[in-house]
Formats: sequence, structure tokens, C-alpha cells
Amino acid sequence: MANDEKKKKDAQVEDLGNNRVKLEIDVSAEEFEQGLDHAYDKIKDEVEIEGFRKGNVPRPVYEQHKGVENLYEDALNHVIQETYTDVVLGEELPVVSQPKIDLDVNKVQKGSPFTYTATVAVRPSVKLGQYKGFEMERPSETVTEEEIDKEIEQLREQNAELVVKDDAAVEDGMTAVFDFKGYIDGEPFEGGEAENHELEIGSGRFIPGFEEQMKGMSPGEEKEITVTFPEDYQAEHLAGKEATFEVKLHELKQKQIPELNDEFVEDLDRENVSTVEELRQDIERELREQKQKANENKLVDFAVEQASQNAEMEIPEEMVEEEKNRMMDRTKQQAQQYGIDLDTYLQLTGQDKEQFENKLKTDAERSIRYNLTIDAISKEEGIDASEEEVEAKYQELAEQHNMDVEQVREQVQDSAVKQEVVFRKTIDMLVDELELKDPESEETGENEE
Amino acid sequence: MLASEIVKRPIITEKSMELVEKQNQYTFAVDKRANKIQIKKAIEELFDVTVEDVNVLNQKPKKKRVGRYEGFVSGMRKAVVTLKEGDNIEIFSS
Repeated sequence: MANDEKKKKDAQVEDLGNNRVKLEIDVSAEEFEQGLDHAYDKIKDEVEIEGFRKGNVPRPVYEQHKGVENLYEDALNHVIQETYTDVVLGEELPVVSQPKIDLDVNKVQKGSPFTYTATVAVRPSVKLGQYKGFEMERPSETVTEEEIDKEIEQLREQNAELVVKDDAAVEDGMTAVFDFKGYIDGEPFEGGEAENHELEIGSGRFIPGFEEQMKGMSPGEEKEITVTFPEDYQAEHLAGKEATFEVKLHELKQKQIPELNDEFVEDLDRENVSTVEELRQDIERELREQKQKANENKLVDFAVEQASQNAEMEIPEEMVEEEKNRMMDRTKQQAQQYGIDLDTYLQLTGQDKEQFENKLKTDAERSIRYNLTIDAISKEEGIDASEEEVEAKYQELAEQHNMDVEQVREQVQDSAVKQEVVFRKTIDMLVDELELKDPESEETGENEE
Repeated sequence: MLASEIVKRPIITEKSMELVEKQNQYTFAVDKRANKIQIKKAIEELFDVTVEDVNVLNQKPKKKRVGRYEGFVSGMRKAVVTLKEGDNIEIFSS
């Protein structure tokens, strides 16, 4: 209690290397007493002892009756949190993980001081390498005729109609509506039966051989089809067995792809587009915008990746672990929004837990590496955010989330917004500094935007 | 009578705690037969303090009934002891 600035506490700091520090923190008897007070405050309302109204029992009386040890856990939690925070503030440590607290509980006693240690990871220092002037081939944003054609083909495909054909025979590309009933060794089996089933011939959704044998049938016709289930069929009791299907074809439909003419374009109902020529231009514009956006991202990724690869840093394991957990929580939340839990989500997206965790870990590591690098560069370059810029960012956030600026201000910390602005500016600077080379090695030497 | 026979137990309640805090008075259950002088001596001997004043009161036994059984809650003699300023008795404060 030597200095008046009680809020900032001293401690022995020991550097463990590898961006970890060990803090040895003393807790005085008075501080622990405060902790006990705090702990008792929490349970006071529920304490009942004869002679006192519920909630009016003084702490000494409680301690005599129930023992002070009951308060230790809460008191320790409180005291450790308080003193730890004070130490971190006092020593101005750039802490990046939750501390690991080590404490000999047996030594804790009311009225006497004790010491505990906290091991914590600190922000690693970053040694920047080259981060400006990387060469990169300028990504092209020209849209080729083929790409437009492909887009139009897709549009036509999407707008195709199924037309009933009565006088045709089954062939590839047609959709057949039929009943089927399957037998193995003369016995019907589960899942081998359906009515008015729709199947696109040639799609390969049925057992190999089935669709081929249907070819040539015309509506109304009945036929028996014999196929063998493949050895690796997912239903094990069927795999490798030979089955006979009674098939009755009801209807045949042919996909009719609309012709590419102004009428078709009209039907698409696009704004300001009514002729084929206009459609082509519209699609070209769309594709170009997509490409430009993708290219922007490519440049950012490239610039940041290069810079971070040249930077040297040792990222503490805890930092990665915590970032990973944050990402995991975010995924869980997203899954919950769709009303499923994480396991179901993983199943649906076809990942197993281990894969998923590994991926998160790599992502987390990369994200930290990027952040640290950008942070270091912004400091190196003295990039800062002015008040107006922060203000503008608030406006932007408010618009994005459809909220009042005031509301946003309440929810988001000033420093976070500021950092966001600084990061953005730094990234922009990195992208600007890229040396873009044109693909055909026509050295223009210019560094265009 | 021995001092430990006279003073039976401290009475610790909200009311008695208030007396401790505000008036340095301590409340005990004492033997029914004890008088003020004996109580004073007993307290001084047991707790090593100086007693300035002793007030006593007899709490009457109360009739209580549990279902069809009738009985008594025993009464007791209480002593409120005023100590010299600065003296205190441990068991009340912690």
C-alpha cells in the first residue's frame, strides 16, 4: 500500500520466452478480506440463521456457524480477477489470452496474505520483412464471348419447360413418369417400389442399367427390367444382388429449351433489357462486375499474404486456441439460426469433426498472422484514423445493420472501430503498392490503378 | 456456583448484535438462580473484561401445543451486560 495509485498493482514479471510471461501476484490480507465481503454479498440474501431475519445475518455470525471456507471459492475468484486485471493494467502487458492461474489453495487463509501465479500469452512482437512493392500479374477482367454464351445457355436451361410427349419413345434427356416394383428372388423388398416416380433419363440417378433398359419404351407400355445392384451400393443388404423390376410407363416429358430470341429475353423480365443484343451487354456488365470484385479480393489476399509471409513472429498457442474457439462459437451460432446443432451441420456439409477443427485451426492461425502483420505495418507506417474517418465508419456500420448511429456507438467500442479503419487504410495502402504486371509481358512500366 | 455454571451461552440475534454495536452491551442466557452480582463476577472472570452494569430479565415459559400434545417452551433468565468502554467479548464479533 505504498503508492496511492491503488488501482495499478505491481507484480513480479518473469519472461518465459515464446511470448509467455509468468506473473507472481501477491494478495494482501486486506484484499482477500474484500474478496470475502464480495463473496458474502452474493449469498447474503439466502442465508438463514436463528435469531436473524433471512438476509440480515452479519458475515462474522455466518462464518461462525457455517465456516469461512464456504466463501473461499467465490472470494478467490473475485480477488484473483481484480488483482490480475490491476496487474495487467499496471504493467501494461499486451495480453492476448486467458491467464492460467496457479494457486496453492491450502495456503489460503483468512487474515493472511498469499501469492499466486498467472501464466499468460502476450502479443508477439512482429519483425516485418518486405511488405511493399510485390509484383503480381494483373488479373484480367475481360469477359470473353464464351463466358457470355455459357451464361445465356444456363439461363435457357433454367427456363426450360417440360412438355408432355405422347407419341415418343424413351431416350436420353427425357423425363419419364412411371410406377415400378422390384423383386429379389421373387420377393418384393423395402424401398423397391414407387408410383408416379419422375426420373430424368441419362441422369444416372438409378442403378446402372435401369435407365438404359427403359429406353425405347413408350407411354402406357409395361416392361420387366433386370439389373444387378452395384457391389458398393449404400444399402448393404441389396449390394451385389440381382433384382427384377416391373415398370409401367405413364408419361414422357421432354425438356424444351426456349429459343434465344427477343421474346425469350422479354420473358426474363430484366430491367431495361428487351433484345438479345441488350441481354448480351447486360450479362457482360454483370460478369465484369463480378470479376472486378473477385480481382479486388485477389489483390488484397495476395498483398497481405506476401507481407505476412515475410514477417517473422511466433504466435503463442493459446492465441490460436482462443481464436479457434471464437470461430467455433460463431459456426455454432450460425448453425443454430438454421435450427440445427453443430454435429448435424458438420454432417450436412460433409465434414468430420477432426477435419473441421483442423481447418479452423489453420484459419485461426492465418487470421492472427494477418492481423498482427497489418497491425505492425500500420504502426511502421504511422497510419492512423482521424475522427472524421471513425465517424464515417460508424455511419457505414449503422447503415449496414439498419440501426441508429447512437445504437451502434453503444454496442461497438470506439477502439474497435478505429482499428477497423486503420486496418482498412493499411490494406488499401498495401494494395496500392503492388506492382501490377500485364500478362503479355508488354512492359508498360506504369503502375495503374 | 462456578462462573461457567452461571453463564450458559451468549444470545446472538439481530437485536443483541445491535446492542453490541451501539451500546457495548452483551446479552447472555444465565442460570435462573443467579443474581446481578454473581453474573458480573462470572462475566469478568470468564472473559477478562470490566463490567459496568448488569440488567436482568426473566423470560416466562410459554405454553405451546403441537396437535393434541400440550407442553412448555422453557423460560430463561437473560442478562444484558454493559462493559467498560473499549472492552469487548470475542465470541460476538467473530
